[in-house]
Amino acid sequence: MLNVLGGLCFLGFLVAALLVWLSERSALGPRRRFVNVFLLYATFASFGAGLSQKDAWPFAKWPMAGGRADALGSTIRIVAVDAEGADHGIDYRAWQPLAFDELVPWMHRTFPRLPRAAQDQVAAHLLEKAAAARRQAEAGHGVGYLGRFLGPLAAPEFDLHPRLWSGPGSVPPRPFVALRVYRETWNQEERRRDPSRVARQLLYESPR
Amino acid sequence: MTLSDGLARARAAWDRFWFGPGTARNLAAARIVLAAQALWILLSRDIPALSALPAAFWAEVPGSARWRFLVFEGRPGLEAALQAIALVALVAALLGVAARASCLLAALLLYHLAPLETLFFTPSPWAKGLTLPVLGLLTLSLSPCADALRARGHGKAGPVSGPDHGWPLRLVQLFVCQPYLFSGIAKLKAAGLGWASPENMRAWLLLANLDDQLAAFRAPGLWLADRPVLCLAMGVAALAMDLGFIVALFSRRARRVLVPAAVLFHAAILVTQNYAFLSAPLLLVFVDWGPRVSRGRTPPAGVPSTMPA
Repeated sequence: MLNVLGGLCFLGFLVAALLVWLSERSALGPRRRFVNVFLLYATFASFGAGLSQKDAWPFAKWPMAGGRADALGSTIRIVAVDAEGADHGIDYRAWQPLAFDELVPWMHRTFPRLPRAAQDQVAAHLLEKAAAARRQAEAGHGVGYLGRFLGPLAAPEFDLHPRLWSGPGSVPPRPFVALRVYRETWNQEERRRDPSRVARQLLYESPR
Repeated sequence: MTLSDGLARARAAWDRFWFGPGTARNLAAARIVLAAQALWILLSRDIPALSALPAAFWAEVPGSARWRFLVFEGRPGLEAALQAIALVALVAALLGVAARASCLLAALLLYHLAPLETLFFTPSPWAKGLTLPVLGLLTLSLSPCADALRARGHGKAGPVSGPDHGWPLRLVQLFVCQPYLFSGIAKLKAAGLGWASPENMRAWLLLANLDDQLAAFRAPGLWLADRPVLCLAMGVAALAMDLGFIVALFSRRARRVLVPAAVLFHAAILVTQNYAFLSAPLLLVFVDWGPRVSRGRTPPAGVPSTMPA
């Protein structure tokens, strides 16, 4: 329903713009009247989304850091496994063009609900990306490719992430053969006192 | 005061705000800023490649979301072609070549491309940096946005100022103010004034800095989290910035303080919470480019300094 309303909201914006354009060509009447309609529509649509906190992108609700931060933290950690069974953290740039900021929440919310065959398809894709990125990093070609045009001036993700495989010797030496997905949970205050206070639950492992 | 008096006053205030004169140069600068911002984001991503994600990623995307943005997975070639057209349109908009058509084309293509980046997870790519260019470029497509600062030889010289240079720029500036205002409203609606409490600020700082996957800078945020007085100051300052930035829309004097303050605000958030607000470069639409770039010059002979509404 929100998608339909959001789509109609943008369509209305386009119609209001079209009226201004037509009035410019004297097809409708005084231009000022239709500029007013356009301005009123843009103001109502954008404030409607923001004040109601119902997103109608591109009329966004901009909910940055809204609400109270939870005392409990949780995340998904995707790790690669080598032939000796050791877990290795994966540089966030390995997932490109996927952004960590969408991938991890999606893995948190949607991935556990998927049928096993679909989970295997996702895991195979991610394992392939991680393995290719490891090979690229090991060969000294860096990780990821989204800096291909702008280099260090490329736009970062909304969340900044550490570059795990940038330092010398930081790239896992052995090829990856499997993927594990963990859910991690912690109490913020406990973890502040002791960074190791994180509970970890294996959600998925591939290949089985 | 009667109702009709009230309406007349409201109407006059509306006209004063929207249809006061603006300069061709500031409007053209907004065109350049919006186009450059969108180019920066597009050239830093590979949005078409996301169309080729395995089918499982798209399993829970509702049909209504696909139709809303005309995004149908499995067509990376088509998306690459559309992105190429968007890039050409943005470069043309940047240079002021067929500026109005270029702005319109770029806005429509960005409306399609931006959600493709996040649609498998959310239909709202509000944090990804293309939201304001969609609204802003579409607005500029209705305006004489290439009366100044355009590539040599393209189009005839327009007036240097007038109401038609004012309202589009003010609407773009309003769009740029809204992330702050709505973010402040989101905070108040969800948590009230207690949002700014030291406890909540500490919790946000811990949330943003304890997960080693999320944080590039950890020490400054954790240092701050352990200082309740500074946490309170941070919360109050953030709410004040969010709710007060809209004043920049109405007051040039306030703009001189609020725009640099917003830049510092984003820098502080980046370092202490690791959030990069990708729309921050759009604060440049508040800069008055006229005096700085044309100091000592007068309008060319034969060019009117104002234009009728």
